[in-house]
Amino acid sequence: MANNIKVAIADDHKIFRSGVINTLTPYENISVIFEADDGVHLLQLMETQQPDVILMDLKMPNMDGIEATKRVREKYTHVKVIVLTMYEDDNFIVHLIENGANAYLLKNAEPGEIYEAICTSHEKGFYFNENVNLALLKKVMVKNKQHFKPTFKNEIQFTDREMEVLKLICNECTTQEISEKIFLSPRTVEGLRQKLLEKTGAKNIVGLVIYAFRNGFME
Amino acid sequence: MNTSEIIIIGTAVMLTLGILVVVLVIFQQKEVIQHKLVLRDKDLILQQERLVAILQGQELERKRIAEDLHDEVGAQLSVLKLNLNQLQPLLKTGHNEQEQLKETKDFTDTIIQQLRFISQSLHPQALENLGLSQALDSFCNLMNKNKTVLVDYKDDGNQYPVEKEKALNIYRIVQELINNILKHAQATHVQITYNSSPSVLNITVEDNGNGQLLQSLDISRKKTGSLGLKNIESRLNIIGGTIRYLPGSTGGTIAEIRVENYQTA
Repeated sequence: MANNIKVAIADDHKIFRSGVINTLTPYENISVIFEADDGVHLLQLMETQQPDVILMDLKMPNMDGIEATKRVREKYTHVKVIVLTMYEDDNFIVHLIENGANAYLLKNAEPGEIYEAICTSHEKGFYFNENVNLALLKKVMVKNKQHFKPTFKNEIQFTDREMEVLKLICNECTTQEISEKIFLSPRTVEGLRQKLLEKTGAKNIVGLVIYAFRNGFME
Repeated sequence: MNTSEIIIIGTAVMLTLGILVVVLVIFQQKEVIQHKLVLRDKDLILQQERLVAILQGQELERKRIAEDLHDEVGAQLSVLKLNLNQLQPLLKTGHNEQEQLKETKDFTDTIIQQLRFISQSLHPQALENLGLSQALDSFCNLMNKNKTVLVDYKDDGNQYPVEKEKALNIYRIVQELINNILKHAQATHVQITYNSSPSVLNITVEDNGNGQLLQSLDISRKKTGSLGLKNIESRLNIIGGTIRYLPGSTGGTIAEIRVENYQTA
């Protein structure tokens, strides 16, 4: 099990924050380090200490979760944002993922899933459940049908190795797992990963995965 | 002066006076008509203003209810579900306790789902955050989850920002059109198409139903028509848009909404 993961919660409902904290208490590798009432409060608190993972509500006064996610992404690249909201809307999902969220959960998700999302996004950089996958996939298919040309953008050419790694990344494999699967050292895999980021111009793994979906590398 | 001269002068004077009177009357009447027109214009403006105020008030109220439901009741239901989950390890086994808890949890989920549907129909949150085109797409997703008719949405990918009031009115018009289709058209498929140039926004709503919409439209124009269609007309009136209804290729109806100068200034 991963070592201690520091979690922060941003939500304007105290009762919900308490509910989530109670739910996470049994998991020993997770500690909630602070709660924030809204986006402004969250950013203020983050100036003194940074969590590994933020559970972020979308609808909040003063600064909503959409804006707060963008700000966090700009300033603290390593901090993972898990959106935890009542809004079940594909367009919100895609919009938030595009703006740097690492996972998107509904507030009535099972505690087990909230826990899994925290651990997975902390370890692998993102956690996409079925809702997110479907929303992204739908977007990709619509884009393909309309004005998207399924050519390699800007003549990006991938080597076979890079393609292999890209596909495994999209299947949520860690560097370690990829290196075992394709018999390369973790360092080489890490290098290929870096190369993929450079070639696609993606800022992080989530961006890379979106790129792969959008350009039809994943079916 | 002889009598004939007197008669001629008299007649001339009488004639002049007569003409003067006629001219004055006509002039007076024109004034009255002019005045009436001004009054009617004022009345129309007043009516329009009242309508806008009523619609705005209605929207505000809807937004408030939707937010109360979604944020307050929704948050509490989510907590309820979290609490139910905490009961799981405390349960005794053997008397269906696990199943009962699961049923209760599922039931909570169903309530939350309905809450989402109600609050999103009342007030589309996506409109504020993501704009008209994406809000319409979200609306179609919502319809597809809950109704038997399949609603497809296609946009041209242009992202010209739509002025806020206009966006909300256009959204409501499309919503009303879909409601009408569900009620009268017996359609199985609806296609919504969003096309925009910098100066004109075109949205078409085409159904594959029975085309009754066209007839009911004529009837409702003659009589005191359906509230929904009136609503569409008033909203278009406010935003300066037009709508055309045409027979569709598959026997259904095509509604074409056209709004000029729709962008944020």
